[in-house]
Amino acid sequence: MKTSASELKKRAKLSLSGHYGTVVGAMVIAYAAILVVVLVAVGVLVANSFSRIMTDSPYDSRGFWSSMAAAVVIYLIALLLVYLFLAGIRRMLYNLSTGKTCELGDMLFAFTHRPHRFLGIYLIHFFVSLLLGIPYVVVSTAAAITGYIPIMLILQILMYILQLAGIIVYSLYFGLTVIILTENPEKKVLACFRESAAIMRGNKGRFFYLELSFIGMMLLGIGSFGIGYLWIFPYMETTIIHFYLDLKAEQWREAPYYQEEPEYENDYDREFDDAPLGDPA
Amino acid sequence: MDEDRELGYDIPDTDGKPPEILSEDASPEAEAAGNTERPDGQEEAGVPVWQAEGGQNMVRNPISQPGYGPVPRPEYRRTPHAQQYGQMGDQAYSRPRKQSNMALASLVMGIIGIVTSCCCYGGLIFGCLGILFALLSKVDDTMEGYAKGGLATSIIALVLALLVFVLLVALSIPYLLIGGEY
Repeated sequence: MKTSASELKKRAKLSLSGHYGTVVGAMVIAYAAILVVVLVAVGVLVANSFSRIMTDSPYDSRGFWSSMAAAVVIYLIALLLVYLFLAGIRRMLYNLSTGKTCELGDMLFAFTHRPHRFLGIYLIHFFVSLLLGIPYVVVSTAAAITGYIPIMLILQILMYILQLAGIIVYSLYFGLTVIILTENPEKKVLACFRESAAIMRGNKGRFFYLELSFIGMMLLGIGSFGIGYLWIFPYMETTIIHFYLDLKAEQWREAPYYQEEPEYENDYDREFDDAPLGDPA
Repeated sequence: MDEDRELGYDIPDTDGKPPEILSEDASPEAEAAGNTERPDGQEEAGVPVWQAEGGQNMVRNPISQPGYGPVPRPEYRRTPHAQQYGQMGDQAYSRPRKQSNMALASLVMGIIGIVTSCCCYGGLIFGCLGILFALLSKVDDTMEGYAKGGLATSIIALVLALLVFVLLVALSIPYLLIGGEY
């Protein structure tokens, strides 16, 4: 019998209970880090603008574009840093889900365990979402050129729905990739993608329902102006990690070559426990 | 077991004997005789797990809850990974509950939401957080008292914030109709 979504959520809440302080603290640190880097990027942009205003060439477009490029580069670096931090937080949540202890130092897990693989997965996700967004961008540009005629508006909406559908289908296949790498950073990027697709076979409906059931919480997060996501993200991730662990346990159980091993160790210990003291036998 | 009682678990008094068999397949004669060994003749010290004839291991949830009862867990004790995950599940279920903090936070957020609902953003933010905390604190089938209070106050805060917003819009309509001039 497959584990229900509510049961997985209950397990996630039990795993997180008593550890919200550490996890939310890690989330705050990650968001503070991205805030600092983004502020630096904005500062570069503003400082460059002021310097151009103070000098004799306020309308020099070259200076504007160079500062804009610097700001974009800093912003991208911030995104990558945050992604690595989030991967570390995922590791914390994985430890909690498997009954281990979690520490704030686990945040740096992705920095110390083959960060290029985590970044590889992130970049693949990023480029796939860019590819899926191309039809929408093309139609939007065409709509802007043609003055937003009704047919173009309808096409724009259709392309947007198509993009959403593509992202959902992609996530149904490869939604567990990061968790697989977090569990074992020695795995290669493509192997993680293959394993995710294999483990999701026959379970996409459950995963879709699980993801859909978080919509209410996401709305609460939006209503709280993003503050609620400090708690919602760990909860969602822990639930998905439990989903992955449950699928893995299920596939172990259904493996055709499986045979139950006798518990030799317990019997061996019991023999010695039952033996009377001083008896050489 | 005494430590478990100190932690507040509902553990039946068995006078030093292992806990009772929970499997429905266990023979009534054995229960009457107080024989609590596993049907396969083995016994596992310290772990209240028995294997029924149907192949299901049954375990009593250490925290007595009306909806839980015996928890079937056949799959978790068969493979190393599955066994580890199963033990993790047991640890999670047997861990002392610390949800009251979250429920209390929900109540506090609800009250602050009501107080700040006159400025609609306060009611919205704290109301949403209160509902969120109340939902996160619910690990049983029933909600804790604090969480129920937090949910109620948070909903009230949201409704008040909505009313204030509607009132502000209604008051500003005449001003907007005259083009923003008095």
